[in-house]
Amino acid sequence: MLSVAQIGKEYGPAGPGRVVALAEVSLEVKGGDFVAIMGPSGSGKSTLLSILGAMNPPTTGTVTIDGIDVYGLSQERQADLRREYIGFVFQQLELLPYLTAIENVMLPLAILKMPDKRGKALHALEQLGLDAKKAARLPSELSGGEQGRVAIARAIVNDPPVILADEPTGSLDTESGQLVLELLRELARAGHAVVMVTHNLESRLVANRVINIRDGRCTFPETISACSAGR
Amino acid sequence: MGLNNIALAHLVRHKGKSVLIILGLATAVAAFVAVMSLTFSLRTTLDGRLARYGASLIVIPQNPQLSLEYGGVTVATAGSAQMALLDPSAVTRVQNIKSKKSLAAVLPVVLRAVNISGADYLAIGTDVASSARVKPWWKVEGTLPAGGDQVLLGLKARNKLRADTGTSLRIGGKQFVVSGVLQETGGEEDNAVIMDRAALAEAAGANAAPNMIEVAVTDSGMVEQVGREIQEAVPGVDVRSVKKSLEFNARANSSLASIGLGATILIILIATLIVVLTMLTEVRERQKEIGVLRALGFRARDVMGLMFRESLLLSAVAAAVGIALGVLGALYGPKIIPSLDLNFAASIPVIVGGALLAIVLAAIATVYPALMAARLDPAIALRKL
Repeated sequence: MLSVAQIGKEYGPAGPGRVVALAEVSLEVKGGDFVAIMGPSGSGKSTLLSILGAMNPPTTGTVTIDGIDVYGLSQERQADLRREYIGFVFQQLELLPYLTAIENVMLPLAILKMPDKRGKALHALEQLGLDAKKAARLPSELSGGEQGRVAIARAIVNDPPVILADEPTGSLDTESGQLVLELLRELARAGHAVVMVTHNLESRLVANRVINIRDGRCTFPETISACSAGR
Repeated sequence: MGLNNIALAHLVRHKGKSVLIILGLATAVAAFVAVMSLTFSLRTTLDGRLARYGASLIVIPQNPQLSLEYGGVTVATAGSAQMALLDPSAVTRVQNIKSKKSLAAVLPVVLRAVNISGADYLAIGTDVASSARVKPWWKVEGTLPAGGDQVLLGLKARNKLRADTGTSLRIGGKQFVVSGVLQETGGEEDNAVIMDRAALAEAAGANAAPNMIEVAVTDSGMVEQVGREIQEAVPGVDVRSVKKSLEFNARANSSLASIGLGATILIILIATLIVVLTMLTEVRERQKEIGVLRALGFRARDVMGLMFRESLLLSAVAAAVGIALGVLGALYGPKIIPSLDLNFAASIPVIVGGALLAIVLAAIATVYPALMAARLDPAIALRKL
């Protein structure tokens, strides 16, 4: 499904000022996996997530989704690939405040010519326990947990095989955070490949694989192959 | 839901910025509509006055001799050896100049001194009916001459001859009947006997070659151009404008219109700058949002499309507001200066131009911000999350 081979990411000019954000990271994620990427701030986990999300080309190595070399595509095709293969859940959820819940969920469908976008979005919301009444509300009129559900509904509305979540519980209270984690676990059980960046130790309990990153490298287990397999 | 809905929802939610952009664009449109409407009104008013003034140009032969007039006393008389005549083909050549559509009338005129009852009078031979049409100030008691045996008398000539309508006059051995008398014009016609050109030539025993051609122009802005073209078409003639004061007014109004146009261009530039800066600020503030949209699969061109839809919606509202303000400005603005004496005429091309201006300005002002938004690296935008 999602394969990362020996990727590295460096910033800045060549020489001593060069910053190594990621080095020799390899990873295999299959449908049904729930992978938690953990590490302190600045360790490179968000960089890794943006590389997995077809938004940040690595300096070295390759990323393939469903056999497609992500960074061999043009930027426009990368956007198409994000829309078709990847669902994002952001740290602050990032619902657009001027759109209603259902309109937020419809965003990945907005540029597609397809019938009944609204019906599809409502179905995604109902799957996550939000009815039509809540769907018509602005994000500011919803609780934190409900906003989290809307964010997840937006990530799954076009049924992408890969879900990437960047600190999805970071802005939520404990109860809402637990709910979001539970929903992500259910998505993994439903066959989605879920990759979540978190520094919340409790989050690791819901994942079936954990990858630790420090200074851009997998620190436990120590080998690359073990990094791919480790718990 | 499509990009249109997202654009509309964004504009409704961000009313303050939307109003600012609408105001910027509407100001430019209003200035354009008001100034252009006033310019058109000035032109229409001037053309109306021009029509009331009759001939705009007179074409006369170049006389190689020095003037025979001193202290208002003319030594030679019209039709004498000293009086030059125009080539008869000159009339056709004037009628066929490049800007012939701007010609309201081309009237060849024969001027002669004729003796009536022992005194000399100025006789004007012309197409009297056409001449009367371009000289609406002519008020006739009686009728215009209907044939070659009738004449129209100026008031002073009538008083001297004591000849009322129906009176017979002998001119150069031929009998004429007075068909009508001109009310006082204050001009040279008051002293004249006016009649058909061919009849005058026959009575005076001369050919019908004109001494001058009166040219009436429909459009005040074309007087100079028509004059130049006549000069080129008929070499060896003098083309004189008979309405110097009107031309001066036209030039003054034209200068006023140029200043107005300059001010409008300045307002348009400032408005464009305001819109560009507002849109740039908008892009900076929406980096997060653009990053989210890009992450959700929006292509660069979709982001650009969203920005252009927003500016198109704003420009539609701005066009309506600006046109309304501009028309009101053109309608009531001149009333502040009563001496302007303008007849405001709403012009469809100006209104359509105003609407197009709003759209074009908004589009131009959106190009750079939209390109910036489209080029925004989603990874960098998301780092700001």
